[in-house]
Amino acid sequence: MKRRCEESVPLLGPWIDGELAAEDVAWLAEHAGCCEACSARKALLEAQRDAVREAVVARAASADLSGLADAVMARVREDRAPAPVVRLRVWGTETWRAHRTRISAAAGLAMAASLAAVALFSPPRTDPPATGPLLADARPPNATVEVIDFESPQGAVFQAGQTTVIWVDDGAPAVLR
Amino acid sequence: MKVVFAFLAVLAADSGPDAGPAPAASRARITVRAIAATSGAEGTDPKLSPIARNLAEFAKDFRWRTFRLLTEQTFELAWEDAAQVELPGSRSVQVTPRQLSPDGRIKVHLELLGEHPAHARKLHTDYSIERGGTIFVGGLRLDPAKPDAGMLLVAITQGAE
Repeated sequence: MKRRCEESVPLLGPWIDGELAAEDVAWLAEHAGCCEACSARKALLEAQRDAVREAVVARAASADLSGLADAVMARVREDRAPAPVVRLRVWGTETWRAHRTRISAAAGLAMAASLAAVALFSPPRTDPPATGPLLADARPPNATVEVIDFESPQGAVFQAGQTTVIWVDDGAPAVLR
Repeated sequence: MKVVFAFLAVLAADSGPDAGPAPAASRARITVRAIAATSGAEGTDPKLSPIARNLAEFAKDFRWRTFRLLTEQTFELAWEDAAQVELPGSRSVQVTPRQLSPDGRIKVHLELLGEHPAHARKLHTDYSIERGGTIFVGGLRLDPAKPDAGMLLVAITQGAE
């Protein structure tokens, strides 16, 4: 292949598609006029384009699209939204994986805020003991995690009632109910 | 990732009931239970009745509601002596009671080790817990090869004598 042919071949497709500037078309036409190989390549590309166009037009003409709209509408009616619990599960999983570090930090801060509220707003200890569920709510967790280091995976510390849960992210989604 | 909960420790200690001087205890009693947690119908293995309240609290917030005891081991340990328990999936947990605090709480060091042969340490933590208290370590797949087989929940219950 001659040097000018090497430069011309990549431009044949755009030439056929009408995407070249007039100056480039003139340069290619001059070369194709005197180069049998490039002229043959151009003819082959044009023949392929015409064949594809004819095939597509023929298939489109024979396609029965009369029921298309009804079929689409029927499919839309079948595809109902997932159940709320499924959506919540997906949301929880995605949120956990995307923001687990922030969730861990937020959980720690939330626990700190909750305990601070208990410390600030609980009645003085000299008062007679209260009764009812508020007393149970004010009880601190039975465990206090002082230092924790998640090494290979990520993790977090949750508080389920009074029970402390150290959570290691091992792929099992920590979806809260 | 490293999370330090010293602030929480201070608050928790401050908001708790007044604790009198704790009687001296020479040994710690540590019970480690490996539990298979699965979703589905609610149900707790009767053998897990000592920690049923903790499991009920866990089930309120997490999606696992069926709990079955896999293994249970109890150790009478001197302070600073470690106990290691093999878990399903060739993992293990190591628990070391550090000391009994003046407020009666037990300080514990815990390490979770991953699958063999690497057996890499997945986490280590120091926590303090009231006598008879139970802490959970969760999130591990019950069977590392089967993501849907359920979750391995490790319950560590601490006591002192």
